Amino acid sequence: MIKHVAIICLLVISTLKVRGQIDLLRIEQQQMVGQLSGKFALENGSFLKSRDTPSARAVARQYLAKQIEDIGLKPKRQSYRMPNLNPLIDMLFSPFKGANVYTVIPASRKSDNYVVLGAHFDTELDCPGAIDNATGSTLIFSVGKMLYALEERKMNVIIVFFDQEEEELIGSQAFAKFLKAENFNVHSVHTFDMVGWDEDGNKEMELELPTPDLENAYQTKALELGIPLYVTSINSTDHHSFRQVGFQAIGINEAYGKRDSTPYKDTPEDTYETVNFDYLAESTMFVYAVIKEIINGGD
Amino acid sequence: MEAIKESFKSDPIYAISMIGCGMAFFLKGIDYLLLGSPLPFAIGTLIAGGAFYVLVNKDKSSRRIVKVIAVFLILWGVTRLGIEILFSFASLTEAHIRSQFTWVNKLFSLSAIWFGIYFYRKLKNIRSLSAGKHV
Repeated sequence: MIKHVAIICLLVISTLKVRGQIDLLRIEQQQMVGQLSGKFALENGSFLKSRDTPSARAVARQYLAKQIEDIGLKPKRQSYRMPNLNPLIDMLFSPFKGANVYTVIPASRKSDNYVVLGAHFDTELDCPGAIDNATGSTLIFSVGKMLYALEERKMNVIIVFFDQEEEELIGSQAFAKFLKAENFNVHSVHTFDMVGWDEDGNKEMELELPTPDLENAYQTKALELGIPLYVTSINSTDHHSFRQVGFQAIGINEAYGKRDSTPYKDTPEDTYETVNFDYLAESTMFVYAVIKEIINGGD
Repeated sequence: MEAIKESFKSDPIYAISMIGCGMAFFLKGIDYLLLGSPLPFAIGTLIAGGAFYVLVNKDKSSRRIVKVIAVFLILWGVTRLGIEILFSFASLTEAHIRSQFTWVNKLFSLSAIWFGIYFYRKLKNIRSLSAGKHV
């Protein structure tokens, strides 16, 4: 009898602990999505109404670098210049200019393997981009923060915020080239684009073009946590850039392919108020569990 | 070298304008070549080479080359301004291009048109020079 009561108590406590963790995470994420999408003021009192122009993107970069710094990691900047997609446009205008912001969470023991978690921080013109893609940026930041708190990490983790995804994936292309040129030994690249809409409340997530290994890693955890997943061959976002240069990559989002996805994408209505923060927090915990399993190999 | 010196002496504004335009497109070409896009370099080299040629030679070909450079400059400026005007009516999603619609860029476009017209009007003088007349 006492044993049964003890087990029930432990179950209740662990459930409350997880719930408490998710509640805390949700509050942190509301703050970050709110600041990135102009709902809440930044430290200097200004509001980021969109992250489209060079100056607005510079403010967003500064904000993200500060977030990285605040958790004790070193923010880095990968500046790039890239030609336009059409050489005739090259003749008329200047090249793409931008910078990705990233940080490396070092492995706790010597390792030259890297898992990359990426999300774009830019928006279309005059769009607050709460779901697209303040949610993805917030998700990878939260996962990075939790991974950094782990005592053991067998692989290095790179958290990267891409610039100019809305302009033909320019930022992620530049970062993929950078990783290739610097001979990073990349285990896998996981990119997140829109994780804030779940109208039917089923917590479903979409896996875009996973390799069998990555699909297996996500499916295994999804079964444990009761998260429905499905696979699509959509390649119109950042993971495409990494696959192009030969890295193992996957895209993870809300159920875009099943149309359980924000109807406000790329519009001024893509606001803080439309974000499902429970879905974002639970998706974050799921992704954290998957990445923890990948970097620690079942420990 | 002597011929170039002579060009600078006889009409310094024309010579500086010609070299300036040629160099501007050549440097733009080098910039793009370093980024892996060869077309602007090819065109920039042709413009710069043409500019150099017309300062050294005062023959019939020079006239044709000046005409090509003049037309190119006018088209370049007009196209850039045209795109800007077009996208002030239609919404342009490419923030990267839209961010270049600045007063400085407008000034570049207008300068190109102005130099194009200036070179075109100089064609008459080049004909005179090739005929051995002083202008």
